[in-house]
Amino acid sequence: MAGSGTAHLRDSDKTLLRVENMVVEFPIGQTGDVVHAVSDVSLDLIEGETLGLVGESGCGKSTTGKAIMQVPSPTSGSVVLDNTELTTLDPETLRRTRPVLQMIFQDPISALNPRRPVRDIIAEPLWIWWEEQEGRPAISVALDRLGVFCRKAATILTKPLKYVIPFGALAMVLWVISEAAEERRFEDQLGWLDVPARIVGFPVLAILGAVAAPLALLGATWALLALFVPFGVMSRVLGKMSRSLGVFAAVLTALAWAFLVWRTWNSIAGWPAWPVRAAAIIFTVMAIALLIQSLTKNVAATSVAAALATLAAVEVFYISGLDGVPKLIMLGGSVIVNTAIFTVLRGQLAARREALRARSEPKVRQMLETVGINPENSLDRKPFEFSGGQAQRLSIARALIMDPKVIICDEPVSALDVSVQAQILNLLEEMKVRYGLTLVFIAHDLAVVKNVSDRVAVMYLGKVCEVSDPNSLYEAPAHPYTQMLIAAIPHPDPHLDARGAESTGELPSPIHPPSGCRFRTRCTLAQERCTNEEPIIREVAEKRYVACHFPLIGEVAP
Amino acid sequence: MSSRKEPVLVVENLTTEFATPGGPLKAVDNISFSLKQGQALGVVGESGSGKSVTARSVMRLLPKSNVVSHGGVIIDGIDVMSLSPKALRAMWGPQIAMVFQDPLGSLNPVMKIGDQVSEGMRIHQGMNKRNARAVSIELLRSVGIPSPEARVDDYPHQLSGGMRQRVVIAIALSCNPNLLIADEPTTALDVTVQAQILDLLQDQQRGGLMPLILITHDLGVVAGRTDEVMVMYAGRIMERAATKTLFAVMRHPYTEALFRSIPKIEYPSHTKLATIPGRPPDMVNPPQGCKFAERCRYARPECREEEPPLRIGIDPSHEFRCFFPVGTKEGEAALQANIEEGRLDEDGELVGIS
Amino acid sequence: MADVIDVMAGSDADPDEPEHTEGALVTQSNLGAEQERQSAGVRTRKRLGLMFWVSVAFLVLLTLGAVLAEVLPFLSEPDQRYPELRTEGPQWAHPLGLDKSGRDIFTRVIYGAQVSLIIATVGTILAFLFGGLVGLTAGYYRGRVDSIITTVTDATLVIPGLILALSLILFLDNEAERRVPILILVFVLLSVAPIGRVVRAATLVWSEREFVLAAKTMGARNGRIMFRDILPNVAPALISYSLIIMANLIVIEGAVSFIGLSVPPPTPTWGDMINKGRADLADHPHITLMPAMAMFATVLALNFVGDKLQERYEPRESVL
Repeated sequence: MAGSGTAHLRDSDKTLLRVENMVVEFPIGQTGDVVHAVSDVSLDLIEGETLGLVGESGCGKSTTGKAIMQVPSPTSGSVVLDNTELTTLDPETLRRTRPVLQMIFQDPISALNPRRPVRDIIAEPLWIWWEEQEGRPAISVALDRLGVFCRKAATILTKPLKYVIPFGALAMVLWVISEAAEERRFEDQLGWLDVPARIVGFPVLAILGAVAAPLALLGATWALLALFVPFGVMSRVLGKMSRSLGVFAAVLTALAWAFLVWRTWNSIAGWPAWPVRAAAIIFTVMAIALLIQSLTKNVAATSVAAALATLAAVEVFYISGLDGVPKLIMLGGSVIVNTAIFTVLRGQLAARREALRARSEPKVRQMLETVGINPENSLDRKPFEFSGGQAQRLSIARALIMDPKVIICDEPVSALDVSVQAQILNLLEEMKVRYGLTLVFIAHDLAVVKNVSDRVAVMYLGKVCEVSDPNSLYEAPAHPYTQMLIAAIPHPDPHLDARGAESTGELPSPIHPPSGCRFRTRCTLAQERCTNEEPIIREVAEKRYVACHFPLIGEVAP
Repeated sequence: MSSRKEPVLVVENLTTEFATPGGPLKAVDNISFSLKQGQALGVVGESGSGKSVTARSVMRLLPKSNVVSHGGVIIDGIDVMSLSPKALRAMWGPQIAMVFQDPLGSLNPVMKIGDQVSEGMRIHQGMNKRNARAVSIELLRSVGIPSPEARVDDYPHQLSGGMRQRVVIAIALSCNPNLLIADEPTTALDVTVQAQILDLLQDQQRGGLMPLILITHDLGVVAGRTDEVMVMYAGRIMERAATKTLFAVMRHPYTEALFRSIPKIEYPSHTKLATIPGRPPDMVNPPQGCKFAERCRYARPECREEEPPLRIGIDPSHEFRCFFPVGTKEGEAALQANIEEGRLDEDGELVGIS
Repeated sequence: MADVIDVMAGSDADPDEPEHTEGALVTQSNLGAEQERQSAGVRTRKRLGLMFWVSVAFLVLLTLGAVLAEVLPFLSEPDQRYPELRTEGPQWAHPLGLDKSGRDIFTRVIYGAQVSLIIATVGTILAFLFGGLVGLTAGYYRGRVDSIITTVTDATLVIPGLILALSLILFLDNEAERRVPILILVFVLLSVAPIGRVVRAATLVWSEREFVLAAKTMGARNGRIMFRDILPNVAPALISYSLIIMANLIVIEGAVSFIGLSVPPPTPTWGDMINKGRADLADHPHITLMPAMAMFATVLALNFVGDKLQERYEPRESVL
């Protein structure tokens, strides 16, 4: 079977998509096992053609499709779309390439958000795109940055943690020493060394303490958690670390942490209450004001809301201290305030939504008509009100609204009834011609794939077996697996003996795939060479490529 | 066991209705058929055709609330509809068994497969644990599970989809039922595994002369493996015939349309597929007349007024309900008239419905 | 309507769908899709029932009473004593009786409701805000982020609530000036983990759905997906859960005030009233029982309403 090998890739200046040596692997469980979903797959797509990707469950065809879309990016390999390498793009740039490459999914109803009406579902890609181009509300940007920061911080905080904990422990010890030094505990014992020790030692210790304190606090936190949380989980988060080391560090830092907490509480316990409260109120008011402003971009609403938000914040902090009628007024006032804020916000958001909808409606209507759905009675419906076939049409409309060049169809008709399948397949053909699309059609049904494709790649257990045009694939399969697939297809012809299909054996595990050729465990033609050597894909006939040492067409591999 | 001549299963005027917020939904509408010993019956239909509900009505597996099922169902001379729940439970297993679509859903995930196979035998035949286990191992062997002695203590999640379905079949066969119903047994499986499972079912059936009802949406599956085929649409039987006859002489427009819309592997790439435009009808407020009329190329005004009567074809076992069957004079005339009236385009395909 | 038959009879699945462990006789292609069909299209509308509306009425009246306590004419001051009527049982002018100091229990119960309701309501809202955020993030991002968040929140599950309350009170609120916010803080801290888990579980399920994948391939940002796509689907189940959490908080507040840690006298709190009446439980049980029954009724009503709403929004599996 193939894997390594790019012989079937063509050199054309009209190549839209080129996948080379793609590998996708998923870790599974805690034992370090890896699922080899896709192992060294290469494909290419020329403008205007339909590439069919066919195989049974576990062959990695869906995974390939998703990896091409970079959701998520493959473990390794290159995906070049229109001269742009997708795998190395940063998220922002990747996002900008999205309109060009779209995807249609298998379960039509599941692919649509059940809580949204159709008009919003279809229009959403447009809204996303407009938002990207015309700017997003400040709050959205801020939250995004916060999210990115948090994730980066989390990565930084947890990666080298196995070092942080011991260092943290050490740092805490130093801190304690510096505290002790500050209190001059050892003054009496030092004698003539006292002065130099203080001049040199104390600042050094203090600086070390200041630098090490955050580390220490961090390490202490994690170490403390380690006391409560199962070790397996901790070591997964922190990386491998030996149990004894972990426990030791945990105990040490727990002690140090307790010390720290005690000291801290002692210092702030004496603070008066009102600055804390004031600070909290001011902060809350500012936060709410910023929020409202960025959501609404309306100064009037903001100022009113901000002024009243003060009352609302006050409610939470002071209510327990008041009695009688003032308390009632406060409660009532805050109810009114909260309702007012809520209504204002809602109104603003609704207005924004209506504006977006109005802007996108013409295109949405046009798209719906193109895919054969009547906009009049469907715009406000929810996905569950549609049948499978209609829902798939909606998915197609959504994919097409961004005017993509390439669409990856991941089993688009597998979940549909037979009679509806034909409708959708015809629709896809029609769309392809009308919009000049290039398709990757992924399916397990060879008859369907043969019908729609210009070129077919057969996959097995993460590797490409055979690449060929559909007609010769069927008439004279080159790979034993292709032959097995074809033989297993039930023919709607009662005079053919349905038996005699040479399907033997079961799919091997993708965690431990067979060595050499992955198909050898089920292949009637397997020989010793197949166990030892992985077949490279090569051309065995005009435009026919196969990865097999002993193919059914062409010569034995050199 | 009944003699060879008498049918094992007789279904007469079976109707099943579900109570829905919009009104009663007739999932199965007055159908009748029978099954002889050793016969394999294929039931073909799409979703909403009522094929699965029929199977469950025959077995009386439907929930008690919101469902009404009436008609005659006689298995081996016993009137199933009049049985008490206790008698019904006694019937499931030894008399009639069912294989479902999703093998993982059909198996208890926390019970060893050996125990699950043994369960029926211990309940219905009173076998003790050791004997049941021995028989289970043999059963697992007979359904093609390698090294059954080792695997008898496995749990379902340790097996592949194909293996699981074999276990399900073993469970179904464990009490030597007089009738086996397989509801889309291979839809959730790969095509290579599908072939193996269907082979297995065929072997078991022919070996035991046990009648089999094979429910599927795939015409290809019934073609090679059944003696008789029943095509259902909107809760009615549209056409029924011996398999060879059906494929040779399709009379009902729905059967023909179904056949035409399937991509055949032999056809060249980019063959345009004939579609059946539209959707199945609303069974809460079903249309008058023939239920397929609104999607039918041959439909004429009469079709929407009353339901066509049952007609017999050249082969006496061939029945269908249509005013203008495919390949007949009336049918051709109807087709022509529709083209002239503009209902069909020049290719003979329906216009206006997507 | 074909969907209905699909739902009830088991529709065609396909080979590449992951398996589902549903009941032995149910076959569905997708639980999520099933959820929608059930909850929106084919719902056999269950009546909410008399008890539901009775509970709602009780809660509304209680809340109104608590809010308007100061201006309601038929309530006396919580501290007003009627020494000659000390420890007397329920009577016309004092429907729930009087306590040992001669104070009207009915008035004190209503005033006590203020504390309980405020703490419970604000606590629930904040807990769901934080817990929801935490759960959404953990369930959506998975991997390392999930591990970290889950580890941290699971650790908070270990913390004994009363001890935490005690220590925070000791350190931050010795003079009992801001007892309510402190208690709210404690409750929020303790509730974030359970709520986070529930939200995380729901998010895990919903983020597997293909429309989330579709949103990603459209170029939507993670934040947008989480709040526009996943949250609206997760939220309905939470609304009913929140009432149950609120009931919980009322009980916890009752426990805290029972041991004297809640808002100090003279403000009446249910737990404190229960505690004070213990000594006279044998002779004058109404002093303890009335506030206890008030708490009981409130919690029961909240639980009931929450249960009913949960039934309504939960997906029902059709067994065939």
